[in-house]
Amino acid sequence: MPLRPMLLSDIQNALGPALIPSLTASSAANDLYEAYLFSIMIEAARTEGAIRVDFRSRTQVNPAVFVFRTSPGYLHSTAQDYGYVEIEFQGKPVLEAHLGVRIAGASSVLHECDVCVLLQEEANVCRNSITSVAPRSARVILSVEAKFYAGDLGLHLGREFLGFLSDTSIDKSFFVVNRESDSIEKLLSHKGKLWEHKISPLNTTDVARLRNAFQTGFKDFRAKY
Amino acid sequence: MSLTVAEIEEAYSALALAAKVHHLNWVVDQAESQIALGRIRTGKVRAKEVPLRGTPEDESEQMSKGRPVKFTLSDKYSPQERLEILIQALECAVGGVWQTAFAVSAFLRDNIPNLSGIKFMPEGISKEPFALVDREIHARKQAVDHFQSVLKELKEAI
Repeated sequence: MPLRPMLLSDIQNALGPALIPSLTASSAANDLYEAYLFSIMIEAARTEGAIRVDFRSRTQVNPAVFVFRTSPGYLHSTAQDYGYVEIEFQGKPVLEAHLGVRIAGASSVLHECDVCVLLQEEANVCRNSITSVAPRSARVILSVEAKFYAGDLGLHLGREFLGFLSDTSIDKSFFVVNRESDSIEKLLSHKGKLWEHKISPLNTTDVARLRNAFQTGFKDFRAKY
Repeated sequence: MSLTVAEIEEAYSALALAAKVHHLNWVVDQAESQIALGRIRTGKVRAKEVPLRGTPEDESEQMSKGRPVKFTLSDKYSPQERLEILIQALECAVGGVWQTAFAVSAFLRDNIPNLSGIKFMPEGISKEPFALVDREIHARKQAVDHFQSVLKELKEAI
C-alpha cells in the first residue's frame, strides 16, 4: 500500500496534542508506572481478603491530595506528606504499602524499592525514630522493581535486580516491565526469580497474572505470621 | 505494494524528529538501542570458524571441532523492522502512558473520597514534580486515539 501523501505530517501534527505535557519525561513515565503497580498490589490485598485498606499520609486519613514519592527516599521523610496504604488481614500484623522507599540490605547498604509492602511495626520504628532509620529488608513482605520502557530493556537492569536480591531477604521480590524483554526474562528464569512482563492497563490477562502473584504473596504472609 | 526503503527511511526520520520536538528523545534513544543490539537468537556455528583461545571452556569445542556449536547471535533489523520498533516505542510513550495515567487516576478516585489532587513529588530538587489532572487526561483521549489511528495507518502501509 503506498504512503498517503499527508500521512507523515498528520502523524507529526497528531503527536503534540496527544501528549500530557507533564508526562513526556522518561522519569515521569516510570514514576507513573510505579504508581500503577502500586494500585495492582492494593487490589491484590483486597482480593486476598484484607479486612481494612486505608489510604493515608503521615498526617491524614484519606488525604485530599495523594502524594507519590518520585525519587528514592526515606520512609520517615517529612519533605512531603507522602501517601501510603495501610493493609490489615484478620488477626495478622498490619502492613503498609509504600512507593520509592529505601530499605537496608544484609550488607547495611541502602536499596530502593519501587513498590514495597512491609510490616507496620517496622515502618513505625522508622517514622518515630529521632535518627534516620531505614526498614530492614527482612521486614519487607513484597517488593517490586518497576521498569517502563519504550524499547527493549538492557540486560544490566536484570543484573542489577539480581544484585538487589543477593543483598536483601524480602519474602517475594518481583521484576515487572511493561513490555517483553527476552534477555532479562531468560536470565531471571534461569536464576529462578520472580518476573512479569507486558504489564499495562490494556493487557488484562497479564495484569491478572501479576495480581494473582501478588495475592499469593499476601496468602503466604497470612500463613507465615 | 509495500513501501520502498527510501520511503521507510523518510518515515523513520519524520517520526524520530517529531518525537524529539516533543521532548521524547528518550523514546528514540531506547528504540535505537534496541535497533543497535539487533535481534538476538541462538544458532549453531561451526566451531572451527571461530578462533579458539584454548581456555578451559573452549576444550569441549576443540573436541567437537568442525561440528556446529551453539552460539548467541545477533541479526540486524531490516528497515521495515526498524520503523516498526520506533512506531511501537511511540505507541508505548503516548498510548501506554495515557492509559497508565488514566488507570492510576481512576484507582485513587475510586478509593479516596473527596480526592482533589494526585501529585508526584521528589524529596529533593533532583526531579521535576508533576501532577495528574483528571480533566487533562480526559481531554486528551480523542487526540490519543487519533494519534494511534494514524500510526496504525503507517504500520499497515509498511
